[in-house]
Amino acid sequence: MVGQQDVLEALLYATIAGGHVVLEGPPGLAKTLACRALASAVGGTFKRIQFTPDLLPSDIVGTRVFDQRSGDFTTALGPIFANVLLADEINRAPAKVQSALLEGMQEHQVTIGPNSFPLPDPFLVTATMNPLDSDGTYALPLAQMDRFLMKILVAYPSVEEELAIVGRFGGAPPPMAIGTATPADLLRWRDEARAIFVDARIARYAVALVHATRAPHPYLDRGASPRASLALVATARARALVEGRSFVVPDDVRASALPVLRHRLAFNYRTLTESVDPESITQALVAGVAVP
Amino acid sequence: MARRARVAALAVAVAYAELAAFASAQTYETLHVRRFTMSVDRTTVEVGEPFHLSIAAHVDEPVTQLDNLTLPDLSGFDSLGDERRCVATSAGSDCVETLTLAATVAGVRTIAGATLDAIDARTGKPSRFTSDPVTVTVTGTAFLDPLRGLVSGLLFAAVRAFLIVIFVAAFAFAVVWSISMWRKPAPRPRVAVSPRVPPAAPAPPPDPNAALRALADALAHEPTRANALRLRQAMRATMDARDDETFGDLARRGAAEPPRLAALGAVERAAFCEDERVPDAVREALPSLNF
Repeated sequence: MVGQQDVLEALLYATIAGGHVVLEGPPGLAKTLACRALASAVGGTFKRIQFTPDLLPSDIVGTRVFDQRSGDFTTALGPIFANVLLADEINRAPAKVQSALLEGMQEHQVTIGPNSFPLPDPFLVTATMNPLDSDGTYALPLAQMDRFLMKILVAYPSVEEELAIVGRFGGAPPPMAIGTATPADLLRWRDEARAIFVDARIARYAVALVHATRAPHPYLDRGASPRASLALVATARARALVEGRSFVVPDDVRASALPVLRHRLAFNYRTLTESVDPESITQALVAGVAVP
Repeated sequence: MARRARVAALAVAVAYAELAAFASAQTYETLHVRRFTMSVDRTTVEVGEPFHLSIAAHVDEPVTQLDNLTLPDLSGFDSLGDERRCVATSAGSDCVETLTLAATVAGVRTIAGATLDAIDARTGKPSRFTSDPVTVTVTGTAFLDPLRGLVSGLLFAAVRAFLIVIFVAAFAFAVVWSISMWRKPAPRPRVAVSPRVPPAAPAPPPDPNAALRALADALAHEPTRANALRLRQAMRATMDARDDETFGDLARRGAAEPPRLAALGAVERAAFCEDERVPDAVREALPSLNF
């Protein structure tokens, strides 16, 4: 990939923190490529689901099939059974299909018929979505969004970066890094991240950031849940690990705040009628909390 | 013919007035006015006695002032002071204008409501918000109440004459006493020759690094997290760090020279690392603390 340093870092932090990540941006900004590259780098099994309006939940989790020879039902597991799942253009499917991912994302298991099946470990959902005002898109349910650790906004590249893209991808596709790490490495990094020290002041700062979203606000219907506090601390720990520290500093929390919070806030109709950018509201909320 | 000319002139005048109103509306702010009130701290005052008239507004938007706030007619009151204040929070802005007034005339006085002109964000149209009026009962004093003008005028003249007599007598006594003192030779005072005191040297400007040195010494002497946090806070203050600025923000805006920023980074590590590592982190930071 060329540029998009923030996107790559956020993907790395989410992978280490054991969370799922959703990338939002207009078509053509290498969102899918970023997810494929991550999956290729960490090895393990990789599955991709193209979300379409006629997709069914069973197309994701699997279904029960009647076996005429044995006279019994057997279970055909769906593509969700992978270490890295790419849910491409997730908001092109209606809410009931998106919700099929809920159990897997939160509990790392899937229930088909009377049986529950554990998902492989590590299990990471990387989703891409187009902005909501694109034609043929559905808003993701808030419960679904809350299960994504981070939402990363993918921006257009600069002129220099775009020139580099033209040079690199104009001919044959460049090879992808394969197996740079293994699923076992991921699990080890995850354990190391959990051991990163978080001072009480830092934890209080993270909670204060989340609480700031719950204060009455003219453009907000609902703020972030306690799951956001957990996500914020987990992401800050992952960042500290990547930076080579055994403890979290305020910069770790601040850098994680926008990606962790932006998709968990429910903005009201006034943001639409008054054309207020929700991102600017989230930025103002984050800036309003004093650093420890 | 003359009637037609008058009608045409009237139409032109109305059109001009609407144009003027429209042009003026263009300068208005777009506001969600949630509350617009006017109140006094006392409803009964004496003539000349100061009291406060407060005009308060709450709007959803972050504003630093209300540009089109018009005060009510305050004839019959002297304005002794005026304070404007707007506090913007995440829930909007609270603006209060406090006037200190003193009544000049006794009686029951009603102050008409203040007005605020703005584009109402709910409708998108220019609107005038008006507060409720307030009523103040002003009781008279002996010298200023016009209802007792005649009596008080006579009393005032009598008191003034008495005061003039007292003043003249005091002046005469002072003159006589001064002359008598001037004629009597005063004993020559013995003046001790004191050494010439050189003028005090101007105080040196406070050394901003002195406090940092003291805190660094304290940290070196006692390498605790609390001392590290104190030094970090003082170093941030010398860089004019805002409350919401992290170390990364300060580094990005070049808030200090690179060595000073590196020192702040080292102190920050000592302030937030694991308890058992604090002394080591302080030891690593000390060489960079050259204030």
